[in-house]
Amino acid sequence: MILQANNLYKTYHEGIITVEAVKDVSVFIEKGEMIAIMGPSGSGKTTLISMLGCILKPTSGNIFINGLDITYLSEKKLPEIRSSYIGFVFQSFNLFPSLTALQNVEIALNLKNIKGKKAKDKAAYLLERVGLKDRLGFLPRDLSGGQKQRVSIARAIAGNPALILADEPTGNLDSKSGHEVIYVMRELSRENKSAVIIVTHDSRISDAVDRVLYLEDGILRSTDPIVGRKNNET
Amino acid sequence: MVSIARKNLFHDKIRFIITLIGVTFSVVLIFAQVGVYLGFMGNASNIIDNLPADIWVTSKDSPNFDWSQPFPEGNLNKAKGIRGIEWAEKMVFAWAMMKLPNGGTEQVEMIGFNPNSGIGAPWSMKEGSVKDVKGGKHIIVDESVYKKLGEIRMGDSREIMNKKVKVVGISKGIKSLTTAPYVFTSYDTAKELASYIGENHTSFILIKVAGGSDKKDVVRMLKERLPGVSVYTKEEFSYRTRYYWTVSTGMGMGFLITAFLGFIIGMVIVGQTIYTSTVEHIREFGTLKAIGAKNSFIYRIILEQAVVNAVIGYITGFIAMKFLLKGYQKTGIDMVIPEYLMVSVFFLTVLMCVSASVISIRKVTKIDPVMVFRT
Ligand SMILES: Nc1ncnc2c1ncn2[C@@H]1O[C@H](COP(=O)(O)OP(=O)(O)OP(=O)(O)O)[C@@H](O)[C@H]1O
Ligand SMILES: [Mg+2]
Repeated sequence: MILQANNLYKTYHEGIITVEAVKDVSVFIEKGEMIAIMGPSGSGKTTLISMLGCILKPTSGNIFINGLDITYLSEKKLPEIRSSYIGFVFQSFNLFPSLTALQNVEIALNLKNIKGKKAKDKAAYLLERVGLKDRLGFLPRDLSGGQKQRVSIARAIAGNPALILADEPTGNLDSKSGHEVIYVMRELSRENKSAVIIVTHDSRISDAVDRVLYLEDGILRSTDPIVGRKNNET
Repeated sequence: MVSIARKNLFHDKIRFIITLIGVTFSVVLIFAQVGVYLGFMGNASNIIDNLPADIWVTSKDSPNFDWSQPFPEGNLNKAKGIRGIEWAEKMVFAWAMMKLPNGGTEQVEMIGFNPNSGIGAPWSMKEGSVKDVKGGKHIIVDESVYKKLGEIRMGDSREIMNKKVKVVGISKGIKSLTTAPYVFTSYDTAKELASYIGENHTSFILIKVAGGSDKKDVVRMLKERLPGVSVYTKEEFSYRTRYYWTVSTGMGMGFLITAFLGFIIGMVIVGQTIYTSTVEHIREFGTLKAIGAKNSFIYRIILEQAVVNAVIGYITGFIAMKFLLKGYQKTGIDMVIPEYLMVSVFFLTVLMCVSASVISIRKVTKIDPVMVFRT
């Protein structure tokens, strides 16, 4: 098991208002598995995936990555965990605007101490794999949305992470590019044996994944009412 | 390694140029202030620094060269009787008035030396010979005095203290710090023109220590044997003079405060632009953190930006300073830029830019990578 989260809670305090964004959520993900998290706006999807990605501390509960309890690791240790185990894909891409497509992927490798020609070659290979062989020297502003997202997939997978987390990766894309992006993500993660969690509103994506988790008001529901499929997690 | 720092820096060209102008401005300001200060200080002590004496005997506690008072000449013979001395020579210094051709008067600092020994004579001559001050009321002026004293040529006549004097020599690069230029003449003529010095009085005794003798011993003996006057090594008296003008008059402080202001202005401009740039790139820094960059990795990006700004700004500032130097030379203001100043200003510039980025570093320390999921 690559990821195990037990009884996660997250409570936000905004002045006198408290929001229980995630309530008693437990998630288990096997190596190489691809799952989707769905649910209405405000249901806690981003909160959950942030906790799973070690960038947000849960109020209570535990998270194990590769058997290691990372829940209460110090801030200093977390970057190391993230760069070793996790790759991120964001709705708004978050590419570095002054770096070319190639450099955007290269820098993720640099962070893992892969440098120089080795990093360049690997970055070029990954970009070729996502179909951007002829766009290596392009700045993000000269790429389409779908192309940008493919660069960010290459960046996410560059460090061979055991887990890729994607929050609405197709949210800013038209359906054709969205489809390509999901396809590329599935291909690369399979090849790399990375597990993938995709947060999405797009019910068509659920066809491409192994399992769907459905969140509502911060609680994991047993059944996904949209596709009517049994959620075999709970 | 991909350098986000340089990419970001050159990506926004306008901001980069504004930062460079800020750094350049402060580099030039620091160079100009310290350079002109050093020029003044060089002039303040140039007589002491350039004459061949190792030891200066002055009136009691003389604060600097220009403020020295007369003391009894008898000290010269006493000094000559001390072991370890190669030679001792008297030199007179007096304030005097020179009448200008157009009718006005100008104050001068008159230096009277013994033309037979030549000790105390100008060390760098453009025209004439220092020996020519003998045999009459003959003076040597510096080529740089024409601004104050009007066009002066060899053989011209002037009046000092209502007595006619003749120009027999022109020296090169011997300027005083004060507004009164130096006029060199013979010891006797100086005392005759400036009678206030008094008979049997001198202003300085210049001493050369004999080879093989210890300067410290000679100074100690002179102090014992010559009560009522002060004995300084050349270095001490030079330092005393410069210290007087720098600290006691506050003049040096004026320059240094302006230089410090230049430093602060540069720091504010660089700090401002680096901070704006940091805030604009905050999402990128958040992303870097999310994908596993440690804080130190991000600090390095910001520091690299600061150092690149410093290095390029220093280079442009240095070039601008060279032009300024030429301009100053034309106006007759001395600006001195020694190598140690070039090196110090470089490190000062780096320090300025690095300390300017401290607020930005504090800002990125606080970035919560969770922002990357928010659109
Ligand atoms: N930093 C925060 N401070 C306070 N409340 C927050 C914070 N972040 C999220 N929330 C609240 O927590 C709840 C869950 O938010 P979250 O962003 O996880 O939902 P989501 O399922 O990702 O929604 P969407 O589909 O719109 O992205 C919402 O009610 C939101 O207002
Ligand atoms: Mg969300």
